Amino acid sequence: MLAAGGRNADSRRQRALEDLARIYWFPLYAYVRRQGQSPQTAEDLTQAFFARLIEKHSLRRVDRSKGKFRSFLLASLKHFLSNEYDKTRTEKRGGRIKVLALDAASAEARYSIEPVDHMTPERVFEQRWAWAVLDQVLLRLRAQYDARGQGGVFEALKGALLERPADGQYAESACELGMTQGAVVVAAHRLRGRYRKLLRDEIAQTVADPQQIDEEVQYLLGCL
Amino acid sequence: MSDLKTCPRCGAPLSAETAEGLCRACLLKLGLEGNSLPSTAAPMLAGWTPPEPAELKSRFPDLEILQLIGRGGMGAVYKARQKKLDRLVAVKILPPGIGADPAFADRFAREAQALARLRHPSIVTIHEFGQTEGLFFFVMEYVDGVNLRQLLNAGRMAPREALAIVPQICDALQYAHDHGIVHRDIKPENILLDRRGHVTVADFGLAKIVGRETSALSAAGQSESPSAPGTEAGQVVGTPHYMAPEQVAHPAEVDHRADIYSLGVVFYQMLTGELPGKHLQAPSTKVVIDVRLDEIVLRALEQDPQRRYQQVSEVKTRIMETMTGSSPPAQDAPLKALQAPLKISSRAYFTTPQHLATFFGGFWWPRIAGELALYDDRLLFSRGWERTEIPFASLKDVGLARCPRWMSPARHQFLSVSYDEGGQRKTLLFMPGPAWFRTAEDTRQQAAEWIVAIRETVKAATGKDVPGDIREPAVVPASPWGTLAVLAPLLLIAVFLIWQFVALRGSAAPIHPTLPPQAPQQAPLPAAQEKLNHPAEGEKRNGDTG
Repeated sequence: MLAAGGRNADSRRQRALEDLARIYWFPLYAYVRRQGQSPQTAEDLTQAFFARLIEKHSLRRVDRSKGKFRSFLLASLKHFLSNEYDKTRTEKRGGRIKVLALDAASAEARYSIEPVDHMTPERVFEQRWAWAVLDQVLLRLRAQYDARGQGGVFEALKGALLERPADGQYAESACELGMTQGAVVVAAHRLRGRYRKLLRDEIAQTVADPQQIDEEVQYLLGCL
Repeated sequence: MSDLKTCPRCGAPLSAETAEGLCRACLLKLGLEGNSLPSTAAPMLAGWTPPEPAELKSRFPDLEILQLIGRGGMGAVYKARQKKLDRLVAVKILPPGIGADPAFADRFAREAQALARLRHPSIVTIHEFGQTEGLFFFVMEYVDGVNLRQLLNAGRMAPREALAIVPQICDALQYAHDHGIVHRDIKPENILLDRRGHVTVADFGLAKIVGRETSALSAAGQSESPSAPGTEAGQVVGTPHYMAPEQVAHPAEVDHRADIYSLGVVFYQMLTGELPGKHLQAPSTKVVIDVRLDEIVLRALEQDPQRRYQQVSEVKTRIMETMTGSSPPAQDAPLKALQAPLKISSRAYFTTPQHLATFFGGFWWPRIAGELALYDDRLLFSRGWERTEIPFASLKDVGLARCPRWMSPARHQFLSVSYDEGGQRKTLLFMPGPAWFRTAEDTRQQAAEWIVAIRETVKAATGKDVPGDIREPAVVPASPWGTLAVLAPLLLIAVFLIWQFVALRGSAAPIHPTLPPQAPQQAPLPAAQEKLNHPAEGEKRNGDTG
């Protein structure tokens, strides 16, 4: 949580925020790209932005009560791009400091598959943010199942997250997984429960107050 | 480029790179509070929202629909007034799509008739059922109270309260089982309690009618239980946490023993506040309760129906047996829980000044732990089976207390509560707080908080001020033997020092000044030996010099 209190928790908190930043860098990259920067420049700028963020401990100043992490990152990025762009270009870009293992090639691939339309950079950022949240949650969900050696269960039942399968489909999955049909029903229920928990936990990390989770979900829905 | 596929559920465009190939909008919606499952739970219910009370007016001309009091994926419950009889009723409507299957109407009528024949004080009575403009409904007895889920959410239940509730559920279930009806969906949401502590079980057999589990159609609240798919024959119905294993594995073979299992889960949850885990732990390992209850709960929770109680009345009999020999649960226990809301509660250690004044008591042995709870009208300390209740009317004073300094050098403090019992003043000492190792300041603070809370609550309830000092603790007398035991090491050291001193003086006096000047370097031992060898001479010599 952003608001891990206490002096000793400071570095832990910093690390948690860095982790968050690592998850959500792609929306920032997409924003920069949308600003009209080349892939190379966009990558450099994103790197430099994070370098600055981490180096200056700006993340430490994130006050949970002030609002959403999403808004904070975007505001910081805008600030960075407008005020520190020139400076960065001279100081940092030459050095090409890498603070995050950004997979630039994949980033560009991801970016380029996206439909070309008339979205503003902010809109792109927010949309990618919503996507990143979901990707992260599904990644974790899959990892949870993999860790238990139940990757197959996840693979077979992930469709059931959204759609209650017809009985025949349950029977099919049951056969495939060597479980009874009843057990499959329960496993699908559990999968949904876990997914929900992960999603809400993930969003809880980026908002000031658990009360805002639903509000943020609604907002993200609007961003899709 | 993205595919131009769209989500069949919400129509949003799906791109090739979407999360695990799933629709992002639908995935996000799933995260919304209360949205347990996208409405595909039962495809015909997609997007169903219960009608507003006003919209139902035309369908139920004899009723005045007052408000929506509960809703779930499978229907909605309204509070209503029957105009002619001027009585309150609950109206449950099933979602509109549910009767699409032509066989449903028959099945509904058949089952509802059987349910309407159930007449038992602990079973929600069905007054009427039918179909109006394609909407299936029940008109039922209205229970003014809360459901067990709400009670459990409000805080953990004292075992005594659980024991007042469970036998009533047993009665209701036994009656229904005798009439060939299995509930199939016993869960806290379906157990209603009125203000007198009377238990009523709702939604009998509804799970079977609807063919799916009914989520939170009971008179209050909303649950997030998922639905299981249902088919005409051999459907899986129930709520996963409360479902008997055979309900999942062989839904067609479910009999009344599935209800006994579900009751076991509810009972377990009432006692421990938790659902039974995968590796079932006896309730007494989690909370302080009579171990005989473990046996009852664990047997009800047997995986194999053959090994469970075969009749739910047996559960009641066993519970009643555990009550004999100790104080029977008051019939109004849940009533109290409802009427007198809990203010604060905490785990606490308990003792009395008398106990502290005994030898072992002085060392806090044995330590008696329990739960201290402040209600609107009384203070309650429960330790397993035994309960000490101090009604506010008998409360004399509250304050801090501590042992004498030498017994408790750290000066841990107690919450001291004095009250009147049969004309006698009694004092109990509590140390609220969970841990073994506490700082004195922590114990003082906790006790002081309790004193303030008790005084405020008493003032609010009775208007009288209870004397209570939170500054100066009273000192509780200690056992002289305990004191001695604590002080013994000090005494021993003192005795040793005195002995040393005396010994030094005693031996120094003869050695130095009295040794004959002609042998100043002589060691004392040979001198003593000499003295032994020639006692008369030595004595004479000593006598001479002395």
